Amino acid sequence: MNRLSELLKHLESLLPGVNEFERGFYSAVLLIGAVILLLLVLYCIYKLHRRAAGLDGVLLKRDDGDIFIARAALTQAIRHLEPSFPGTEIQKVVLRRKRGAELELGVALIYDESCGSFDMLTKNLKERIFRELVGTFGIDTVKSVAIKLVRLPEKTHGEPHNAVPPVSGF
Amino acid sequence: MNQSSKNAAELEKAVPETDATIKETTSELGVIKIHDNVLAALIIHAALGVDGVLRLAGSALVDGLVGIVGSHSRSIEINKNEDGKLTIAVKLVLRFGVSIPEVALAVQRAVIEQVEQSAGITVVGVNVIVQQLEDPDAPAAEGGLELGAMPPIG
Repeated sequence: MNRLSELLKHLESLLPGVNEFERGFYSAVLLIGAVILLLLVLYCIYKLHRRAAGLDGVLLKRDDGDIFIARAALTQAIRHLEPSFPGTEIQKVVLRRKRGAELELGVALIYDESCGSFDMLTKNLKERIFRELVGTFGIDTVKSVAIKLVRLPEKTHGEPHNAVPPVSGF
Repeated sequence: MNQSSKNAAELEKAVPETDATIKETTSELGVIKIHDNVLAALIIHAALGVDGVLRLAGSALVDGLVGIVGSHSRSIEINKNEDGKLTIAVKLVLRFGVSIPEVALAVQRAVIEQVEQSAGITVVGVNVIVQQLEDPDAPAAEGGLELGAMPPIG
């Protein structure tokens, strides 16, 4: 508060010859400007956060009304693929808009490389996901699937893996 | 004004219109008002009758509380257009393994048919929101899958 009053005094000194009313007016204008700036910054942070969180689902237009498939439903379907890929544990699924109506599905997973090559897993998992999206959900707007290995599973003995290996597959 | 129209006007006054009234028909015999709860019940009946639909999405507890205060499930949204036609949105949990577009289409047709036949109101669209998939034969999942922002890829 002291700093604010000091700042206002400093600003007043820059405007010599202004009366009390004008000082009050300029102070109010400055205050409103600062509030608007603050709101803009908060809005930008909110938008960035929303963008990082991705879309909430996929909308399919139909004659009798729209069909909206929530991200949770997609996640559940993708997680059902886990038993087909031993050593895989799907952590997160996120949807992002790419260009126009094109979407990208991001899958973050933990993979035990002792179960096979990660590149092979990526290739096979992508194929299965695309098949699931089109076959079960009727979604053909997802044009790419990005697989991200978030970490290796912790070993039961010895130190856990901390380093994130290079990500491949996109 | 003849006697029958007078009676109808009196009856109309006796049954005040609320926001929840979707359709109102006045005749010399009286006023018929269809509450949105009635439509919600029709919609639920039609949607749950479709093979592949397990239940409405949302919390049963919250829906129960909402029902106590006289409103319908939050999983059903009924919007009345200016011309009196309806747009309906229904949030559903479907059975895992079904073809979602086919089930959703069946739900749309069933709801439209049910509402139009039972209530005589034109439905212009039924938006189906597939909130979750469930496998009724699978054991209860241990902990939910975390959904949220994934760190930037690449």
